[in-house]
Amino acid sequence: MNNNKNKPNTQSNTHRAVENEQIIPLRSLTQAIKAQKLLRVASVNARVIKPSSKYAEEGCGYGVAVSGLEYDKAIGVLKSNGIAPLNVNRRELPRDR
Amino acid sequence: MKKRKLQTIYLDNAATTFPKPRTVRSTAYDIIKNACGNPGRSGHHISMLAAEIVYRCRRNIAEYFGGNEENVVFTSSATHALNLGIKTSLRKGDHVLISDIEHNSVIRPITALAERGLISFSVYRADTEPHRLVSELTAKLRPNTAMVIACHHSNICNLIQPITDIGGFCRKNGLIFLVDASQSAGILDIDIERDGIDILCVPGHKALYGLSGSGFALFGKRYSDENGAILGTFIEGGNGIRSMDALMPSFLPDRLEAGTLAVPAIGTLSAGIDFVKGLGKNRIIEWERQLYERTFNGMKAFSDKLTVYESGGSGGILLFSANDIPSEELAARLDRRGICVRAGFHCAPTAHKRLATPREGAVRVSFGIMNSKKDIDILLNSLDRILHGHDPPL
Repeated sequence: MNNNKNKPNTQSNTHRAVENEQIIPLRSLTQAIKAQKLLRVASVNARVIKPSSKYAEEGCGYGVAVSGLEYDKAIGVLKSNGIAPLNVNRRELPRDR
Repeated sequence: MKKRKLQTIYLDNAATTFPKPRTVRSTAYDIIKNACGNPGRSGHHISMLAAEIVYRCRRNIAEYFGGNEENVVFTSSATHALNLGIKTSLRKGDHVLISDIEHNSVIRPITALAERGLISFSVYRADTEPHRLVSELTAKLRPNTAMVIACHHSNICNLIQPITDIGGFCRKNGLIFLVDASQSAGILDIDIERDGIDILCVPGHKALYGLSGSGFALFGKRYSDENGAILGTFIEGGNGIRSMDALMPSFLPDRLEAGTLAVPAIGTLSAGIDFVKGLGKNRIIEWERQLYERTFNGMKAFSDKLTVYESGGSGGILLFSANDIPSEELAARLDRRGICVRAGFHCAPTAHKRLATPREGAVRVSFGIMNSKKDIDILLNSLDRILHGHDPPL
């Protein structure tokens, strides 16, 4: 296992938001990782994230963060693979101040 | 750990495979050293590395057995998976058909539910011949029959049930089909979609070569997406999702997984599947058949002193008893010579009755890909000495 190799793909929290990056909340961590793999195949860069509770249903959840420019494409890829985002409204991640 | 000096001939692979492949051992070390976080709890990279390992295993299982990785529910063993599958899918008043070669991991939960007045059940005669088996199932069907449970491969002989045909019968009659693949997963071909399986229960530590503590129930299409909610819950607790909701989520796998997953064991299960994929099932089956034939033919030299229980022909398991030595004593005397086998009733009471084994049970020799022909020769030589009185009693 290459620890360093894996880090960039999985490292994620709300404090590392990139400008214009947007969150797609999903129902489970399993689905979030599945979504990340599907998006990668479709050439959409995505990170699995555990966003703050206001971006998740009932307190805790996971999702993927994608560039705002690729948001619509990402939603399309996920829907065509039977993955329904919990809320498809655009939600910007809070940024570091 | 104290290591015994005597050479070890391990022939108890139906209980758990040993030794584990090098890749499985190194994976366990790697995970414990680098990635033993709690998946699905946090957002930091160690938790996420653990989550990646768990996901990779789900994906590996779905690729190997068919189905959707989101329908893989991790358990600590096949027994856990069977209890989970049975108790979350049945409803009060249901009738269940179980075969006469089931393990206690099916017999006991089904009997417990029946004792509590929740379900009823009937036992059908396991068979290798599809038409005869389907006729048997049809004859046992009741208006309230909800599920058929099939032990795919017996744990005391090589009887293999035709699960594709049973699956077809279940589809036709709208029944839930649950398969205990404890002895077959990793050896026989299983595809939950082709075989019409609704719940596949598998240990990770047997022919998939993972560590003890790994296992899973793989749910079929019937339980996909929000249909997961038609399953009852088995264990409730935290899983990092919807924490403010007092109820378990409605979808798989989160509906049935609570508490911290056994990440090292799950990681080794994935490495074990890779190992089996690399070898190919046919190679494993063929090797085990060769070892069986060598043992069976070798035992003919002292056939006057023992009985071999043949059912299903050659394969990974050979059951026998000595005419003058109780099975537990014979196993202990073999162990004194470094040979590991299992004696008794193997948690399969109805299968033992069917094979008419003695009151003291029988000795099971079970082969694995790590065994050599030399192992068999040492077993035969030891049996020869014990059965002909050249080995002191215990």
